[in-house]
Amino acid sequence: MSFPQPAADDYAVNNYQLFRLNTPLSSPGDIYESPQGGHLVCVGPQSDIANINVAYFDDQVPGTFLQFATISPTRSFVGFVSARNEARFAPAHRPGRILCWADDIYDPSFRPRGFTAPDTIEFVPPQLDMIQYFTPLSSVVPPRSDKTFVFQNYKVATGGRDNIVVPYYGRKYCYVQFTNRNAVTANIFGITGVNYAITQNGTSNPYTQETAIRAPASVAAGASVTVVITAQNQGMFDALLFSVNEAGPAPLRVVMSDTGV
Amino acid sequence: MATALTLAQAAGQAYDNLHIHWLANGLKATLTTFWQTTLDSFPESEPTSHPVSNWLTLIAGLAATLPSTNVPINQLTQAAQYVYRLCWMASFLQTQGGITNTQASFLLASYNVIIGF
Repeated sequence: MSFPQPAADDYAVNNYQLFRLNTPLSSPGDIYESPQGGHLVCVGPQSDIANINVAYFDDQVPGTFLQFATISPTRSFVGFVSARNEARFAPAHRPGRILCWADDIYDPSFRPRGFTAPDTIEFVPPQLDMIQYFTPLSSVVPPRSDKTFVFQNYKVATGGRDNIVVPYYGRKYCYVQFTNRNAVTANIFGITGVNYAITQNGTSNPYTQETAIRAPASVAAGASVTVVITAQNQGMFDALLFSVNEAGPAPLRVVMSDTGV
Repeated sequence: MATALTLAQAAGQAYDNLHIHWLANGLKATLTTFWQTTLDSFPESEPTSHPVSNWLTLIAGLAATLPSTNVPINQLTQAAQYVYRLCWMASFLQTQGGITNTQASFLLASYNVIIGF
């Protein structure tokens, strides 16, 4: 549950020295506010979102007093980030505060091309993890933790396929292992890289970009597939989509990292 | 584009709709009219509606900095992303009770009149 969001006030008043906003996105439009100024903002270790926009009050920006910074796993923002509750952003005339939101797009209405009933789709909501420090720090290099997603059984209706979408923003390396542990039936397994676009979903022509990394193909009973995805060889994606046509058991392990190999 | 029946539909049509205003050199005027029309419906005294008013504050700031004509294409993208996110946020808050159905309906109606076609 992301809203109502945790309040930065409690963290500042109780001298916690930092406010950590660590939440799954509840919608593509999530925007969070902090009425507290701070000395540094950076991406937290658990974040699936790679790029986070921060807006704050700046007297020296004529006309709006809105200043912006985009932080990422390779770039924190060191320096005083002011909220200035007593002042007003222009021209909306709303109180100064720090605003932050995911720069990366997320679309839980996305459906892959060819998706028809009785196909199913499950999303792992992207985690947004941002840290605001209330004490001065010389610098922070905020690499994200490697992340592992593990799945084993799936929701496949008769004649359909199940699609699992996991966030992949800014990742540069991914190891995928899929093993069909159904002793009798083959499982058609595919991997697609997805880059979201602002699009009307539910139409025959959504604008989302899809890249076939492993075209859906049969994995025999007892057989295993290993795929390594790198930024250099396959590219960079907002999400990875895995498709299966049997309920399993078929363990799928996805390990992703910010550092290429 | 067809009239958006839901805020989620409005979000999905944001880029296509604003593109038409951009081509006609009407992006600044459209965004300005939109935030001026809608912001007062999400007062500062309602903390649960702040996510919507925060997006409108950003849209107001963007509109103020846009040139009246020949808006760079990257600012069209920025405008579309703001409106896309605003609509999704309002849609979510409506389902969660963060804003009222009246507020959501007014936002959608304003979108359809000012931004939509």
